[in-house]
Amino acid sequence: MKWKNSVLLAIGILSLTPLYFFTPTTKKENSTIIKTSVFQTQVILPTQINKENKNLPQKLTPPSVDQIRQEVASDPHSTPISILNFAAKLGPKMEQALETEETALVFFEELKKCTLNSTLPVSIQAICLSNVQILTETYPILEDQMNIIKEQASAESVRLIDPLFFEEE
Amino acid sequence: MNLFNSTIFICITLGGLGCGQKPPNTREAAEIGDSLSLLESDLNALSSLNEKGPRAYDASSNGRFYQIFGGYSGKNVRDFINERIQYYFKASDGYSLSPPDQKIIHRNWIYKGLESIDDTNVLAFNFGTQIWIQGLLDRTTYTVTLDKGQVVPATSSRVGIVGLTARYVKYLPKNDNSSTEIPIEFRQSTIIHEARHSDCTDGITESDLNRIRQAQSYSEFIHNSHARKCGHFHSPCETGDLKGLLACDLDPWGSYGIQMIFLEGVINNIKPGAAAWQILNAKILDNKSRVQFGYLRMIYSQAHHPNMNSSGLR
Repeated sequence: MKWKNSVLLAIGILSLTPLYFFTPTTKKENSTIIKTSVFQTQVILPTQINKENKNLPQKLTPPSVDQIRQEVASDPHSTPISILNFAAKLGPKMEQALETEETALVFFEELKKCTLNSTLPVSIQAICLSNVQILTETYPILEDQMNIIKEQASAESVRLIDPLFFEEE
Repeated sequence: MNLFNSTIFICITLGGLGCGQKPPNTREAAEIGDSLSLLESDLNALSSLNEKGPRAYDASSNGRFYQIFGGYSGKNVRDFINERIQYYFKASDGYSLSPPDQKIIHRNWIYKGLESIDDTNVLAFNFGTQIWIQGLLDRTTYTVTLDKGQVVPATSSRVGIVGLTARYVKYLPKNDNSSTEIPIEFRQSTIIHEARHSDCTDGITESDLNRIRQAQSYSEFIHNSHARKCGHFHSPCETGDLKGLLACDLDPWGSYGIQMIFLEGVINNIKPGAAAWQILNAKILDNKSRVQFGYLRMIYSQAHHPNMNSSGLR
């Protein structure tokens, strides 16, 4: 049985490799998704590969302060598109995280890094912190960690999310 | 570059009645259909606004939603908008101004002028108050010509003339060529933001006008004028990541603040963490960072009750 699974896996990889490598960069994420779904229907996937594929297309890429300033300089009135794009990418990840505690714990770490990264724009730190709060509401086991994050996060980002936080102390 | 050429305009009234349309080509038809009919559908959708969200927000925010919109229903919000915006048009169609003076406030200062607001920049803009104030400065009444020669005299800040750009759309383009649906509340909040620019809060005096006449730059106007609440002009940010950029409100209850309160109310109707919630949450946080006055003081200080009136020349 083992060799049969290996053959099936190899066929799966070989049939999808050209699709992955010869797709333009912007399409690669889509092809990764296709790859995952095809694998899941045709081949019994090793857990490790499944995890990698799941994470690949959803990597968070927060915009920098410079990028946001450039966007606001050219359009002072609107919320920078890079902030909205970042928020849009959070949606599917959060929806997954709200489904299972296991996924939530993994994503919580990613949100923590983002929240505590003081080089990021404050609004991005705050967006990540607000998602930390939502996860904690669903999984109270995270509460202690959330409080530590809030204490370590920049005061500006905490004030945006929870203006009473400092007053309560 | 003189953009005050006679262009044919497309506009709609708040009641949703068309006010004359040129025969568009296919591309134009698609764009016009997209922005103006989307606007109409966004405004109509206010009738199904769930009051629960705003009521829940007010329970912990000192009743600010009610104080601003006069209630929690979609009708209250729609009335708020209707009082402040009378005309909508497609930005790329431009407009003509009479007399064709070039010195619209803003125009010669930070912005190069309204001509810099093209379809690649903002979502929407309201220039009614600017034109009205310019009329006061020049001791005349300016008129704006919209679709099919429809002439709009700017006799008050509440004339409310809003241009919609090609960015007033249903989907947010993402870096990977995919797109995300923009929640309807996001666009509704944009119109509410623009509506607030129609309020000349506390009115404007002759001495305010003199200060504006003497100002050499937009920054000087903002910092020396007592009348920046007349039109709720945006100010350079004094702190934060946007420091120095013309993207903040120094006073409470400007356009960013009002827009933020609307969003704080309606986001309660959306599942936290979901895609739509993420977009609205990002918008709220961005707005909050632009209200330099401070959120806590806005919400909890009785001394800073929102004044939603609008006055003229005092």
